[in-house]
Amino acid sequence: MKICVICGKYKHYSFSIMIKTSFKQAWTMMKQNRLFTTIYVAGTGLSVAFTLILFIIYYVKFAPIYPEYNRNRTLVINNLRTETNGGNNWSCNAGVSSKMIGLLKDLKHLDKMGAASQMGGFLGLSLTLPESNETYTPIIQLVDHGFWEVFTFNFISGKPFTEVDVESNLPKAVISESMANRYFATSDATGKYLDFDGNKIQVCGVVKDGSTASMTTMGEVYLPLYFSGLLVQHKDDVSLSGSIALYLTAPSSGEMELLRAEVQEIVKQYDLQYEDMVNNLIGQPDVWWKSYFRESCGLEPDISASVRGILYMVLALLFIPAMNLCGMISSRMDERLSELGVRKAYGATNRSLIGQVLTENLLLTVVGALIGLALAYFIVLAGSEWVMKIMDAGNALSGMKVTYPMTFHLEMLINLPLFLTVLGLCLILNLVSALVPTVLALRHPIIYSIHSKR
Amino acid sequence: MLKNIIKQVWNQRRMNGWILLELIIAGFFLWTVVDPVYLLTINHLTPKGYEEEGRFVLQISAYGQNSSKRDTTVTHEQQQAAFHQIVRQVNNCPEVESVVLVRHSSFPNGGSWSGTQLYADTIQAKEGKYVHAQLYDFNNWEEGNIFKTYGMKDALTGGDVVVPEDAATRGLYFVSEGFAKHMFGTIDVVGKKIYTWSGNFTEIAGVFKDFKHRDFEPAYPLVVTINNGFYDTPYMHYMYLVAFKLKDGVDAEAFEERFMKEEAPHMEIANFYCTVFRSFESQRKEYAEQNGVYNLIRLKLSLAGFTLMCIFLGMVGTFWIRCNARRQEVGLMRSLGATQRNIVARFLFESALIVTVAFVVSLIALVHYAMEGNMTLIEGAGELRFASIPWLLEDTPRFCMTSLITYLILLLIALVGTIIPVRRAANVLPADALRDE
Repeated sequence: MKICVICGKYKHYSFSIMIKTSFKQAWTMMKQNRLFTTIYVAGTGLSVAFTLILFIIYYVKFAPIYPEYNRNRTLVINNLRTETNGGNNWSCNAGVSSKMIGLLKDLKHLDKMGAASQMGGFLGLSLTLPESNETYTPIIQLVDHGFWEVFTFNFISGKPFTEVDVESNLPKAVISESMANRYFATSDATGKYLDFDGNKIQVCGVVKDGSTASMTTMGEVYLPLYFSGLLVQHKDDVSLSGSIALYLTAPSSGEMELLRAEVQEIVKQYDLQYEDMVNNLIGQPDVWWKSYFRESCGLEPDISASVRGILYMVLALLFIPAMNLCGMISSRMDERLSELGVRKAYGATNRSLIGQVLTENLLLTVVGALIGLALAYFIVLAGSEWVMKIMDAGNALSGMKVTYPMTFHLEMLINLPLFLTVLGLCLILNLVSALVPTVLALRHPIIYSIHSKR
Repeated sequence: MLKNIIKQVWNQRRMNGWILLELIIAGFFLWTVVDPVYLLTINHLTPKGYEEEGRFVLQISAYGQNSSKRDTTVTHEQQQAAFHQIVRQVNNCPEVESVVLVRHSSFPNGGSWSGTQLYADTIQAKEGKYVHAQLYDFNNWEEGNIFKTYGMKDALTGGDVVVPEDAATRGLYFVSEGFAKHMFGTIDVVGKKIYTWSGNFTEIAGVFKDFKHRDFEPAYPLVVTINNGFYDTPYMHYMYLVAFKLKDGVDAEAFEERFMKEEAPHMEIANFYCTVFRSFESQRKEYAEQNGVYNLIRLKLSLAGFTLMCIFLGMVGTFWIRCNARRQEVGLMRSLGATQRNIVARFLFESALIVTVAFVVSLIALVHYAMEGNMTLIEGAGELRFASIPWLLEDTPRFCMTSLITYLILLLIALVGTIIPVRRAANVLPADALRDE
């Protein structure tokens, strides 16, 4: 069967032949108009690359990734404001006190509760690496037994410390696989001792490394929460403010609201005991993604402003290049006006002509998107030290000073949502950039279009 | 000629329309990207109110409960004495000019912040008319002097701030010039009284130049008090920092090396030990890094780069197509005696005209954007009233400067994007260009 290249009535032919013809034509045009192709592909690539970088950053922060697979049913409390004098005086800490753990542990809709503090950096613990003989200060997380239940770490050897270990403040540690390899030259380090300047701590478990892209769980050495007495609350201290972040999982994501209400109620009940003191949770506990936007200690985050800011950025990343592409396609339409006129004269409908242009254009968009995807990966990997933190505005978790290199897990960069986003971006860019100029070009009467050839 | 060019641009409005639309959107977006960078830059360039050079801060640490190095027989009194001994030892280093014991909230670019409400008189206190001020305090132990150590200057004389001998016992206040202006409308306030909410008052002993606690923010009204006592808790090492100034001409790196090698081992007493000290400069950078200031700059510069690349590509594409379409016109101009330069200039003028028209349209939207209250000094700062705002950051100059910078960047990129295809087109021989005529 021969293909009619004039009338454009593709319904006579199979869909695959139509696509093949359009792509063949697009390929020929790509080769003929190198400048157009370069600018179009570069514009699409830039738009896709920047949008994907943004996507990867937020995917890592919000999606279930190792070892934070329970993010979608986890509530977070990492901020508390203690008010006195009717709210006129207040102070705030980036966390809660150990007393809060006791208050919340028996809630009806609580599945698991984990506590963690990044105050480990204040312990001043450093060790000497055997290979280089250099003094090294690892990333230390102070965690309780529940931490290992909320966050599903993969234990290579050994097991986490128990509730008894935490309460009795035993010098035990869980370490990351890379730490085990650096210090003991083996990942099977359970039972061995870390020597922090003469301070010997027994390793009770070795876990697969977390990622520095998420500092909530990243650590090289995990010590019992009350290690060194740093987080032990004075018994007379009635404030629930402290330096511990709490992670509470509900049995299902549907029960998170109930759990939230229970937490707020119990803190309210606790405050009734004291005449002039309010422990203000400032709207917490937060669902996981919301906790990321809690940047200012003691203040309610302006979520809608943050989301508006991100949407504004995404729109700019899509529409500025799209205007570029519109202009390019518009001028190409001018060049092809006579061709479109001839086709229309032979009975081609506007719909079929628009379909043809969009399909031809799709090839260019796909090439641009693939280059954009590669560029996004390159930028994220090459500039990971700052790219992954670029959207952080100094919240409690990102504020920690980390000298450890940025590490990724494969699932952070290669995942179905990412590829669906690439596909979505292709379709959006193609539609936005090609549809309007084509419709505008097809408005002209056939005589005008054919005449334009002269 | 101008009329001619405007007419030509208008006649090709359909082709120019897309690039115009892109420039309008890009102009608006670029402005919102340039503005925060401008704000942070001007804040950074504004005088700090203290000196960074040769200034350091030392953190004293202690061996914890589980540490094998911890001496469990050490009493609290011994610890307190040891703490003072360490400070004295820093003071006795021959390279050190002055030392002061300060709390974490009394150190520039430190993570803590302490503030209070103060009143000019009791009537104002009753009416709730206050000036909110940041509080710094230092310990007068061992003749510590925060003004000397930080390099803060007297606002009236420009010289060193004079601290009366009885300043600590009398609980005298030293205030920044911004605080003085907010409270009394003048900086000549030595001897005046300021009141706390409870009605207690104290006298002002000196006025110093505005001081920026955070480098990328304007100065906030600051009050410095002298602490006569010592917070005597087992966590004293968490409460205090030892700030010191080296003598002029001392090599800081050599001092740090000598200090850690020779002095630090002698400071390992009563479970205390010295960790590495930081310079004021590194503290400033660390604060900006950890609090998202550098992240914001990186983000805005990346977005600016993205926008400019798009504009560049757009201008190259548009003018390439336009040059091809006007090949005969160029050939005719060349044959009538126009030089390459004349042709390039004409196209550049067209380009500049499009950019200018687009930016004027963007400006209309930007004025509305600015008037909607999107030009805050610090996001989320609420009602914070800064001591003084550099005039370049006042609303009108800031809007004008940001607009000018944005326009110049847009224009530059657009002209660079234009010149590449235009030079190529203008290079053509008249005979070649007119072959099809």
